[in-house]
Amino acid sequence: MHHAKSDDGRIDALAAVAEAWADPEHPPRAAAVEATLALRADEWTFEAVTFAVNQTMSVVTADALRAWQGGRRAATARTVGVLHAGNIPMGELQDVLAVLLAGHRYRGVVSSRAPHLLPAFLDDVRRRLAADGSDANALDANALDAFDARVVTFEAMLAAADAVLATGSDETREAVDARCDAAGIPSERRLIRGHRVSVAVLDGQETDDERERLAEDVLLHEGAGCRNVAVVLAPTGLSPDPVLAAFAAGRAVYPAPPATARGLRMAAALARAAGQPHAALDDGSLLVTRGDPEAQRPGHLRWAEIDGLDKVVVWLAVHRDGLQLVAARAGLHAAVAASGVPVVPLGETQRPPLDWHPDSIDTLCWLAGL
Amino acid sequence: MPDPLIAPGVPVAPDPAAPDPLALDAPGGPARWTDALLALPAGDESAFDALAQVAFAHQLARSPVYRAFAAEASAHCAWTGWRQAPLLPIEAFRLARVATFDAADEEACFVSSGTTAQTGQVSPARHLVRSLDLYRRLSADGFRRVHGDGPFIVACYLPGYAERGAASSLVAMAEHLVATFGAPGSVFFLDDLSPLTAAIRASEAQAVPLVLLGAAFGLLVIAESGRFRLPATARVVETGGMKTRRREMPREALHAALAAGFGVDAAQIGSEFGMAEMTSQGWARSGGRYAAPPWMRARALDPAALAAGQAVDVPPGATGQLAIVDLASVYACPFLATADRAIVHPDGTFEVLGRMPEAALRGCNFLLEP
Repeated sequence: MHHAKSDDGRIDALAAVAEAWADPEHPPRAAAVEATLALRADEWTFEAVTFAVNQTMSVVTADALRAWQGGRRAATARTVGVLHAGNIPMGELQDVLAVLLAGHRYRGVVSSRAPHLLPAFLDDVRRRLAADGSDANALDANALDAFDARVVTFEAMLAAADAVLATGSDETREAVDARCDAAGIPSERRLIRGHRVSVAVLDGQETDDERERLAEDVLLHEGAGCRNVAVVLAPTGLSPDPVLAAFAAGRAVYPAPPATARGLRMAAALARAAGQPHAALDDGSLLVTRGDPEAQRPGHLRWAEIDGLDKVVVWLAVHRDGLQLVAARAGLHAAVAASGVPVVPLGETQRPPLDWHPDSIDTLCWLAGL
Repeated sequence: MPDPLIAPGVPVAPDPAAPDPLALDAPGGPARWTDALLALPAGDESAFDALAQVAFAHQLARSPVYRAFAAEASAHCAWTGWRQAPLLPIEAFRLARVATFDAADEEACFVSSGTTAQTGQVSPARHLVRSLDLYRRLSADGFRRVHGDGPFIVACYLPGYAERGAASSLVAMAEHLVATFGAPGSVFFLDDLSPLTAAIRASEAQAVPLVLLGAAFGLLVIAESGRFRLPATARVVETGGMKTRRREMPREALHAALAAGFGVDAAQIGSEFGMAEMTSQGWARSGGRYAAPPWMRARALDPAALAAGQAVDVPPGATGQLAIVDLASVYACPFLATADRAIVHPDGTFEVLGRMPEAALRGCNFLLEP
């Protein structure tokens, strides 16, 4: 009962703050967004940050939090250190919520490139809990600590953590493992995710609306997240023109930050010089090249031709350890799902549900088992 | 509106006004160029720059791909020093014919394995070779500068490469090293390890040092078998990863394991760095800090700036994206931006740390910040 009351307080506070943060004029959100854009003006846009915050807050409801938790709570409260990648605005929140719902203390290390949004949100939660006397009385002694969202150093986190949850490249995964070894954090108390990308599978039967949705999958956040579509797998000979037109229109909705076009300059020069089939928007903010199915830089989509859905499924299955999602029209889901890679509708990659499973691992389940 | 995905035309007209004091296109051009490089004093920046300018002019005049790339990548193509020469991404070798000569003059074609860590099989890189004699003489001289004149009992273990025969630049280099420096008893071996036993005995009987050259993890398998104890004068030279295994370990740990397994001092474990797209190699007599021959320079560049067309060196000792200026590749492309991470030290030696992670390119490697 003690845990249940504590959880209710946390969940209600989180949901209430999320509801407040759904309003762009909510002062803590507005200030954090402004500070974020001042810091990341070269790489993030107002449109992308606004989309990400709105999307994140829209799924953090009390009902959704309770459904996600589903009674899963660790027998022993531990201190969980979380290393956030900071590549998507507010992309950190799911891991924070999972730690809290599992009943653990959260010690996060946020990227120096994304130091404003998450701490501001958690400060808001802490203020609400502190101001609400009845809920505060219902919390256990560590409740406020659990909402401690101070930016701490990696070393400070390691010194405090009983377990570590991290996301990064394969290289950083090895480094984090080594540091965890040195800190005495056993391997079974580490969940270290590697880097993944997502792909879209097209067959030419997509509607205009679905192509618009694909543009969102590709353009939002410039492809920086593991859910972003970085590669399109299409049948040989399928004309890309309707998709490219959708991308051009999509750029009006999700304009590119300055870094995107700048970072594509050499890739575009290579494509032109080497005779690689390609297309580019006039302002250089999107490059599409035909070639092997390999993820490229932000803003650079690879159009890879694979003949036959059966071969596509084989390719997906072979590469599934490096893939987060497949986006495809509904008519392809059953076939594509045979690859073992999670499949979502076009336009859903940037709209993750609260309880989605990064790297196909149920984070909350792992945390509850610590 | 975007352009359709069509291959654009590439200007191919040579520039008749380009300086070519060594008549690189004329008969005997490769030999003259080889002689010029072999006469280049180590560390003479002025002499290096003068030859780099000749190579640059030759590229602009005779390489349609480099000419087009330079025109796209630079505001102008006037010579302002070798550090300002546009750096062609090595991906070009997978996309186009990167050469300054006609197919009729092609003596060999080195082909990369066509694998990447992230996406598996991809189109291989193809390095078209105008002169095998140039390749052999310069490779041998690079080896000699680090290992001396020999003779050596050279034992080569190149699983994953040997099967590709003449298409493997590593095999071509090893064959020439055996021909140039190898004493009687030098040998290539694969599954049957008895030739290694014979080479060890020959080394001991003739009092000629053994050089065991091989793919890193292939050598590790042999070392860990515990069956071979190398002579005290032996040198082990690992040439980097083996394609048939995906196990990863830091170079220091690899060298320590090789030393322990072969019963030699760690100082006897050296390494070689080469790529199918390059002509020259870097050699480390001990450890993994490669020395470049006088006609080659390595740089570690800021990857974001490089993508935008600016070659900005990271501070000495910091990790950056490896760029190679290899004047021996005058008939392919001497000015290369690789996809590897590297550290370049103030003395010009360099370490190669593996592929630029896909995550880094897509903004997801923020975990371990200073």
